[in-house]
Amino acid sequence: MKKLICFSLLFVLIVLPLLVACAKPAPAPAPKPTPAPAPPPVPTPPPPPPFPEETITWIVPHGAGGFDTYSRAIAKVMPKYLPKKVDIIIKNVPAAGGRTGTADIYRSKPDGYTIGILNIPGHIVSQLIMPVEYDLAKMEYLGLCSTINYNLWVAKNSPFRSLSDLQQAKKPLRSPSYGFGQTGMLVATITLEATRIPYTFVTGYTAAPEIALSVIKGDVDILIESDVVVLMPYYKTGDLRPIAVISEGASQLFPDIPTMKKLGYPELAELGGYRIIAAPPGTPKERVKILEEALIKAMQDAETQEWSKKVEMPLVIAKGEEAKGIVLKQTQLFAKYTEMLKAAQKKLEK
Amino acid sequence: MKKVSKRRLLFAGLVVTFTLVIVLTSFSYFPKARLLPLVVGIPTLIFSILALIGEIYPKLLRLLDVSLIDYTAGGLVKEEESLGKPKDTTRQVLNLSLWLTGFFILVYLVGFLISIGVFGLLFLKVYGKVGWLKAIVVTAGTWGFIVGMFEVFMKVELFQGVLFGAIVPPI
Amino acid sequence: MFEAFCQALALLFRPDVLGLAALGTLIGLVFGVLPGLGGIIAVAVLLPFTYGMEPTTAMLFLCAVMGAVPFGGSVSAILINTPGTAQNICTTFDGFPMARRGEASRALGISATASGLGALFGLVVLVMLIPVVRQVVLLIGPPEIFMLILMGMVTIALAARGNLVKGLCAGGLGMLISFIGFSPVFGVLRFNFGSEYLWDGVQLIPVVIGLFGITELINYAVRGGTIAAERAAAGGSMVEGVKDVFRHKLCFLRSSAIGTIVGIIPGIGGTVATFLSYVIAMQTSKHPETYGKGNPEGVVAAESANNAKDGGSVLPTVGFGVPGSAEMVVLLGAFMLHGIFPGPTMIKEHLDIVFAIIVGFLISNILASTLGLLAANSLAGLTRINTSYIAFGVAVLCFVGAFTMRENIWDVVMALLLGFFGYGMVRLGFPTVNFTTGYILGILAELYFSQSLMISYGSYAIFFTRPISLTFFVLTLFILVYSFRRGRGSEKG
Repeated sequence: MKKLICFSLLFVLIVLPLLVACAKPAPAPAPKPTPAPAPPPVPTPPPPPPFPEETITWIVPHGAGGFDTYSRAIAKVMPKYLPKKVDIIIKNVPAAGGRTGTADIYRSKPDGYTIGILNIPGHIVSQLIMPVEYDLAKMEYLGLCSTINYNLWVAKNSPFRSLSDLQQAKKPLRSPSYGFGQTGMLVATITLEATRIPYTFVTGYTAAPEIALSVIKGDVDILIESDVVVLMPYYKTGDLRPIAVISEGASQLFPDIPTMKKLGYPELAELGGYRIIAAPPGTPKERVKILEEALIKAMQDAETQEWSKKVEMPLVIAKGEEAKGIVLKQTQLFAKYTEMLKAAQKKLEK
Repeated sequence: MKKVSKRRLLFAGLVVTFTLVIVLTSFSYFPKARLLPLVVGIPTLIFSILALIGEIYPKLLRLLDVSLIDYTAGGLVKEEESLGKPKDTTRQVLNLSLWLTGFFILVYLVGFLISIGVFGLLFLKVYGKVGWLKAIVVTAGTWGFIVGMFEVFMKVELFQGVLFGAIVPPI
Repeated sequence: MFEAFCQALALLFRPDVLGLAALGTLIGLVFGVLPGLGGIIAVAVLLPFTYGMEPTTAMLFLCAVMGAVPFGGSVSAILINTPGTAQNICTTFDGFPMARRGEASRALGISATASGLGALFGLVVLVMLIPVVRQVVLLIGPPEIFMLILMGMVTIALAARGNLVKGLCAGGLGMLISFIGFSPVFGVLRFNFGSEYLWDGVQLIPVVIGLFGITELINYAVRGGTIAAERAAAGGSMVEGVKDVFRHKLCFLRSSAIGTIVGIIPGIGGTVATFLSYVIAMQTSKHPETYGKGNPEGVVAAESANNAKDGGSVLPTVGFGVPGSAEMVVLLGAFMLHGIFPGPTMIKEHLDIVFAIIVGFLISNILASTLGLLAANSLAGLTRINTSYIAFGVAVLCFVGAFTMRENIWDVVMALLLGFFGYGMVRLGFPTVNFTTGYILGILAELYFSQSLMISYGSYAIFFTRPISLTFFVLTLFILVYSFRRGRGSEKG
């Protein structure tokens, strides 16, 4: 027994430091400060440690989907534009509807080695209506990569042909959604309330294809959805018809379809989603700048542009400053709607 | 009346308590959200109470033991017989549970990489009573496999342990 | 269509593609064997590696990985009573008792053969249904899925041996556990008692690892000795196992059919397919009392279903982008990455990709099964090793496996707690299989039930006016009546 204890202790004492040394990555070597030049002795400040030196983690607070796909495509090309080509690896944290991942980005060490993609206005609304562990206003913004535009659709053989038809419906129109708290449902609630279309939600769907299917089958009557990539094939076969364009950004895609702005609801044109990339608050300004430049260049890169065209997922590029502006504007916008959303939720609970 | 095993009573009581808590909590949600939890919870509560009573009065349970299909569909239930009459397993189960809990505490403190090595040697030597050489080889082999598969191939950062600064997600 | 199939097959003649398929199969086997890992994680990890590949090659590779997982999982299920993935739980019921009898090679032989042939069945059905995919998938909606789930739950509940009270109680407990967490259907956080960790509820992997990995680990570590209690009886060989599948061809066909149908239905996957297939096989068998004690037919039922479901689940996935099983969700992510969009156009414009998928599954099942047959005897040697080594290895794998999925250390705690709870359940006669069924189906039943009512504006008639939903309901009643009469009959006899 004593022998055993001795051996165990020895093992732990010898192996432990070995394992620790192997398990953790080698720390970046401390740079030597530049020596002050010969007279006159003007002391130059030591240059900041080189960045980046190690792998950068890009947190995606979602599973497979738009956010994940854009992140992977950009992260693949971005290292080319960093001062040193390090890997950027994607880390999916879909827990708690993306709030955990967003909190992870917020709480990560602000050394430039962690960045992430944010769901705007989804997480703005979360922050407005429940206690969360992040404050979007404090993040360091790197840029915008794409927008999410909403349209109002019906099925091929639906009796409704225009917005006024919908407004005069006798029974509440069934509108599918992923569930409470999702951006799509927020946009749908605001749109339907503003246009006074009688509605009821069918919740619990998990992805756009399921929703498209349910409209085609006739399980639901209208569809307020953004995922054009999924819906386009159905548009081309005629299974789905757009009745109105909600977000301003989608108007070029359907030039013959009236926009909400034209139909008399200009405030709805501001509704839409944004995929914005950010770093934790407190990340040093020079590192933010390096990351921002690399990000923008990566999005403008020929390879990324080609991918974007091939998969029909458009890139909408904007720098950090503009992205921050979008976040602040959306926060103001949704602060207005908080009461309406809370009231609508109470109504649906009956 | 047969001597009633305290441990069995405790477990059955735990089940009843848990189900009761769920049923009571259900009432704090609005009707649609509490429907299925109650539809499932109330019968389950009744059954769990019956099961608890059945531990004290086994004859009663056998009365209600109307299996709609009267055959021994094993596999779905592994009662003591199929395990092979254990002698005094309680102490052994407790012993093993302590080992597993200890392994977890070790992982929590110092991470997987160190714990696998330490646990491997201790467990195999003390519990398994195997020879030194075999213990070292098996532990090293397992350690190597885990590192190769998870850290190298899958690039998963195995938990490093709170003593080494690993951040623990909120409970 | 035949042309597209030949084109895809021709891919295999390229040595680099064949090599990738073989590599994929091997990786799939390893991920299948290790508890807590599986097809989903494997594809997620390998996805970035497929960047540079052509879409057809990439899909073939990823499906080769996925195709080998069910068989890999059956290896650990049979040898150490720990299912490699949730869809291998039923394989433990008869596979492990066979291993204890020293017939591990035979069980592995059955699994290899049933897996390979089951996959083939599913793929053939898939190909036949491709022209009518639209009509098939449009027929299925929330009411149909709910009725199928109800049928599944009733069937499995009835099979609880002897103690109906404990069986139903266990099932109910499982369902209640599944309700924990945030419900997007209602927008309410339920039963989390203030815990942020429980926001997403109790996850599947800690449940499977805890209830089937750690509970088992306690069992055989306590028992000591070796797993195989006896020496191999004559007739315990791998070849016997292959013959077994043909001896029980009716069971095989029926189980493959069940697996394929459940695969086609979106939202339900391998675990339900195997449970349903196993219990129905038991119900319709002449000697149901032998199930769970090492009846080869049980292994046939379980292993044909979980591979057949792969073929079926591809149908709604490529036809509409609606995943037929959990593994298909990641495959959809792979599609998106390579710029392929499932939907009405995929069948028309990308038939080559569809067949690359089919060929990927096909080749991996052939390779995996062949490898399994060749290695069966050596693998069976594991059952003659001192259980302390196995206990250690399994403990490590369980802990790491529980951690890896979400990189959350509390998942390991959950697995441990469920492991202890599971041991208690087993000792007291609460069937863990009912608990697991309740856990998997509970929240799904609530989802589809609620959705159906939302679609029907609150009217329950929707379940009985839609033909397929009504059919499932009638089948459920039939199963109830049949079981009652059977129970009465054997009481008299």
